[in-house]
Amino acid sequence: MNPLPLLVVVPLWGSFLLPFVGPLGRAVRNTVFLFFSTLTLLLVFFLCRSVGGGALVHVFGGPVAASLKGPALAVFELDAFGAAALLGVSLLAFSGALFSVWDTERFSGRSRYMALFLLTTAGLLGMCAAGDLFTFFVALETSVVALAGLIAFWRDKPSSVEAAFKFLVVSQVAACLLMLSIGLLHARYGTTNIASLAFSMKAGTAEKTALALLVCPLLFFLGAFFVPAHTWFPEACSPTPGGVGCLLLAFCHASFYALIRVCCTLFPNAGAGYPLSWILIGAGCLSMCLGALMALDEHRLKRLVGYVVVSQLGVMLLAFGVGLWALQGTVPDLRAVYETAFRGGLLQLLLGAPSGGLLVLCSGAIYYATGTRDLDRMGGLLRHLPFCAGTFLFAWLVVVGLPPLGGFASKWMILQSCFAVHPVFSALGIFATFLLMAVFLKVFYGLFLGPPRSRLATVQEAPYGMWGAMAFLMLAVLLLSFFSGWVRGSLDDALQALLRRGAYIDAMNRGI
Amino acid sequence: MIDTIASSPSVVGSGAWVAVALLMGSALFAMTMQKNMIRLCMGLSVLFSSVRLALALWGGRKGVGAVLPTTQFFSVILLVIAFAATTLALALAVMLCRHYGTLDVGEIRKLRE
Repeated sequence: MNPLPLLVVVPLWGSFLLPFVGPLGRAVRNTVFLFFSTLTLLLVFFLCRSVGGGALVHVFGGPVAASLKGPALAVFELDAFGAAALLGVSLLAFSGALFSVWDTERFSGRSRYMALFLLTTAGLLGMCAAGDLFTFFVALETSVVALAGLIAFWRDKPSSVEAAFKFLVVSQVAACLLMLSIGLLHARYGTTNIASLAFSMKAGTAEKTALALLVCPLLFFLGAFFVPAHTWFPEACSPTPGGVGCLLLAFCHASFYALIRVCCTLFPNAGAGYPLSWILIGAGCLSMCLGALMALDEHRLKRLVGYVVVSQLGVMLLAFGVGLWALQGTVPDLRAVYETAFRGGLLQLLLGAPSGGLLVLCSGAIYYATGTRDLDRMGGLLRHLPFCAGTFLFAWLVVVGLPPLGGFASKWMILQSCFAVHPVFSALGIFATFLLMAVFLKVFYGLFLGPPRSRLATVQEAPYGMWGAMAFLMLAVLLLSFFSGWVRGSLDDALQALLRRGAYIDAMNRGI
Repeated sequence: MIDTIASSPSVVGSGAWVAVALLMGSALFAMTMQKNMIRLCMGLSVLFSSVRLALALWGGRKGVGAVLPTTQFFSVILLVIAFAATTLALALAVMLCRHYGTLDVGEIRKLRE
């Protein structure tokens, strides 16, 4: 039996069970929640190993669907590139779940929180595994509505409710644009199946319109600096529990996966004749630099971390934009650049999830301990929160890209490939890195060094469960940084999966 | 071989597309220019309706007299999603009104500062 549908079935079962299990007590509720979260993570590990260099396909509806005329409607297809995105999303979801068990102890409505958490996890995993655009849309909407509920969890704080309202309204407008694109493609080709569309796709005005309607909302969802909705990620991240911040980051990663799938598989000639690669490069540079600049100016810790994460997402976007540009280039020497750019982007995708998640959880743990998000009201916390300080330092070393951690390798490959396109992009990348170093110095001094505050004299370290969640992500970063043989093999598989559209289409035909 | 719907003429002419454009335009106007949160939610609902109408127009086929089953399926799912999203948005608007005593987004921004 193909275990692919279990990706959404397992967390969905957990989500439906939790409201009934909640009245049985805290221990039972927490056990059920962690059981389903762990099971989902183990399933993802199993699927990633099973995929290897090939692809897994599951058609919902079985023989009935196979007997219908035309390509299958509801399909899951997972190749090596999808597995890389799935791994990052599941690491964030699991660590967020573990963190949330202790973070939400002081609040009521925990059963509903955990049910929404697992529902969001199901939606995010569905986004990474979807083999047709409509299934992706349904998974996306499931995630968005559940996330809006989670953002408003602290409903006694008006900032949470406001952030949830803003996120919901703006994301639904973006989702409507997505649906218009899906409808247009369905009208042209009679299917929303990604492999079938990729096989039949021609160049034309309708296709350009569909591409624009797909790319714009996905750029918004991934948190790119898309004025005027460019600050949704830091604003949503700020007034929410740390676990929800991890899910928001996972949502950005899943949207990023969808964007690259659209650009490389669905519209393969997106670089030649279309300005798409330049749009990605521009959005990437803007996110990377403005994210770091706005973080420098920010004094609220969680918003600051949100801007840093946006900056890192911009680096990934820049890498894939450069890769697309080089892939479609007519100069033969530049064709070799795309491999470096894509590898750097894929490594950044793999590392960005645990490192960004670590920053988000650290800021959540600091808020749990101190009760404030304002850097101006904190200081001298190194003695009280040594573990938080250590993990914060570690996360920042990865984000900034200092050796020997993996962030250095990914940034090196990305900046190297940018230089081949034009030196100004490398210069912008280095500029953003220096800005992030400045932000780190400001934050680390403001939080952990400097004069201690009298009101924080009784602050204690976060609970061990939160330590566990942060240690899990640190372990993930260390494994990805130092087990280079496995990482190199996985990157090769993901790169081949991304570039060989024929293999993706053949896998779908075999699966049907 | 994939049957391309685009090769079959649509059931209705361009008049219906004008209706889609008007609905979409009024929805986007409501969502960008209106400051009342309830009107923002109404704009969102109208936007979803315009997208469903566009789907129905794309899915219609001359000579068949009905919208394609897959398009009908898309419309129904979108209806459910729109219901959920609009309901949640209205609930959040009510909660914000309880906090700030107003539904006006501009007033809320001033009160926050």
